[in-house]
Amino acid sequence: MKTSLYAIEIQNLTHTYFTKKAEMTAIRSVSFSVNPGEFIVIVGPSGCGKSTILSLIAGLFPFTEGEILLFGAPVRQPSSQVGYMLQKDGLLEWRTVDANIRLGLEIQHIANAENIAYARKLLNRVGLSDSLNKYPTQLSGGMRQRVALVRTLATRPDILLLDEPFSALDIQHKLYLEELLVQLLADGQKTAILVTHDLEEAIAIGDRILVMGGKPGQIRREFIVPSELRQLSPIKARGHPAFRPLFEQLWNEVETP
Amino acid sequence: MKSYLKRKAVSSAHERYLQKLWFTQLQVWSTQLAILVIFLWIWEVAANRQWIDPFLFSSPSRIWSLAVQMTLTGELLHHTWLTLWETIVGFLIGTLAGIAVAILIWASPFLSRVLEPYLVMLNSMPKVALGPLFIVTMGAGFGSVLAMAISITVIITTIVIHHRFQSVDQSYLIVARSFGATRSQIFRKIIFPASIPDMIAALKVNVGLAWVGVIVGEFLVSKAGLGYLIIYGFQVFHLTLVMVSLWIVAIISAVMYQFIDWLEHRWIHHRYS
Ligand SMILES: Nc1ncnc2c1ncn2[C@@H]1O[C@H](COP(=O)(O)OP(=O)(O)OP(=O)(O)O)[C@@H](O)[C@H]1O
Ligand SMILES: [Mg+2]
Repeated sequence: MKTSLYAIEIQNLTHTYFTKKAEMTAIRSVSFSVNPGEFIVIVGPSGCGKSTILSLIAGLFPFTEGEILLFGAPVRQPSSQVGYMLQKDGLLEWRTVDANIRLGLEIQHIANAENIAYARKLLNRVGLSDSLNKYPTQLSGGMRQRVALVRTLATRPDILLLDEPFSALDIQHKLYLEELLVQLLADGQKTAILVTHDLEEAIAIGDRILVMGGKPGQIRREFIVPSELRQLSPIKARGHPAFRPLFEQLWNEVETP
Repeated sequence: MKSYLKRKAVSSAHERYLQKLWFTQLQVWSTQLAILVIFLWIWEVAANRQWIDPFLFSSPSRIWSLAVQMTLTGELLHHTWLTLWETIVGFLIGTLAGIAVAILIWASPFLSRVLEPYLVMLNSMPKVALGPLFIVTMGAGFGSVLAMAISITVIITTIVIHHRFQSVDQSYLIVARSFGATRSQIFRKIIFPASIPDMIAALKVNVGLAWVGVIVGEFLVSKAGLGYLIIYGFQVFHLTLVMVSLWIVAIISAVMYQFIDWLEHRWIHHRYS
C-alpha cells in the first residue's frame, strides 16, 4: 500500500458546507504533505477552517474538491489508522473514565486485555489513574481533555489529528503533556497534525508550522522549525535563543489580517 | 437514625448538614400527612353533619367499611388484580413496542420521513374514540381493554423516543464515527445508552396513560375491574363503591409511579456516584 513517500498528502483541497439556507466555503485550494513521523502544527484565526481540514483527513464527511491520500491511499471514510481528538471532547456521560477510554477499542473489536492495560497505562501517564471510576461530569475541563487524549491514543493510530488538545489545561499540565506527546510520537514513529491557538506551543512541539488565514481559509505561510529547537524537549525549546525570533515572526504572520 | 447519619457523615460539619437535610425531609413528610388527615377529617365531619350530601359524596368511614367488607368477600382483590394486570401488561407492551418502532424508524431515515405525518395524525387523534373499533374486532373483554391501553401509550412513546434518538449530542456521534463505528455500533454504544434517561421518563408518563386506557376500556366493555366498578356504582347510584374504586386507582397508580421513580434514581445513582 505504501506507494507514497508521504504519510498525508493533501492536494488542492476545497470544502464547502451546504445548509438549507446557504453554502459556506470553509477552505479553498489547500495543499500540503506530511512526512511519516513528522509533527505538523496548524495555527490561524478562529473560523479559518482548521477543524474542517482535520475532519476531512479523518474521513468524517466527503470533501467538495481535491484529494487526500494517507500513505498513498485515498480517504473515503474513517479508518482505524487515524486517531482524531476533537475540539469538543465528546466523553460519554454515562460511562466511567475507564469505560470511555475503551470506546475506540470496543468499536474496532480490539478490546483485549493487552490493549486495555495499555490504555490504563496511558491514563496513568497523564496523571489520572485515580479517576478511573469517575464519570466525566466529575472531571474538570483539563481532566476531560486528558481522558479524550488517552481515548484517542489507546487504539494506537499511525496518524494523530489533535484539535486544540490542551486548550483547557493549566501551564504545568500543558508542558507536561506536550513532553509526553512528543515522546509517544517519537517512540511510535507516529505522524501528527495538531491545531492550536498557542504560538509558543506550536514552536515548542512542531517540526513545521502552517499558518492559515482568510475566508475561505488558505495556507498563508509555512515555517520550518530549526533543527536545534526540534531536538529539544518542549520545555527546553522555550528557553533556547532561537525560540523568541521565530515566535516574533510567527506572531507577525498571524496578526496581519 | 442518628447513628445512620453518623456513619454516612465524613465530618461533624457534614453530619450537621445531613441532619438538616433529614430534618427538612421530616417536616415535608409530616406536613403531607397532616394535609391528608385534615382532609379526611373534614370530609367525615361534613358528611356526618350533612354539610355535604353523604349519599353523593360518601364519607371516609363508609368508604373504609365498604372496602373492608369487599376485601373479606375477595371481590375487591379480584377486580383490583384484573385492572392492575391489564395496566401492567398494556403499559409494558405499549412502551416496549413504542421504543421498538422508534428504533425501526431510526434505522431508516427515509422510512422515518415517510411515516412522520401518519405518526402525527395518529398521535393527535383521541385514542378512546377507537374503542368501538377494538370492541368489534376483539370482543368486549380483556383484548379490547389492553388494546386501549396500548394504543394510548405506543404512539407518543415512538414520537418522544425517536426525537430523542435524533437529538443525541453530535460530538458523541463524531467521536464514534472517527473510530470507524458502523451504524449499528453507533446505535448500540451511543444512541441507545444516551436515551435511557428519556426512556425512563417515558415509562413515567406511560404509567398514567395506561391507567387512562384501562379505565376507559373497562367503562366501555368489561364486566370486571375497577373501571367496571366505577361505572356500575355510578349506574346504580352506589357512590361509595365509586369512591372505593377511585381511591384504589389513586393509590396503586401512585405506587407504580413511585416504583419507576425509584428505578430511575437507582439508575442515576448507579451511574453518577
Ligand atoms: N457543520 C458546518 N456547517 C456549516 N458551516 C460550518 C460547519 N462547520 C464549520 N462551518 C464553518 O466553516 C468555517 C470553518 O470552521 P472550522 O470549524 O473549520 O474553523 P476553525 O479554524 O477550526 O475555528 P476555531 O479556531 O474557532 O476552532 C467557519 O466559518 C464555520 O462557520
Ligand atoms: Mg476548530
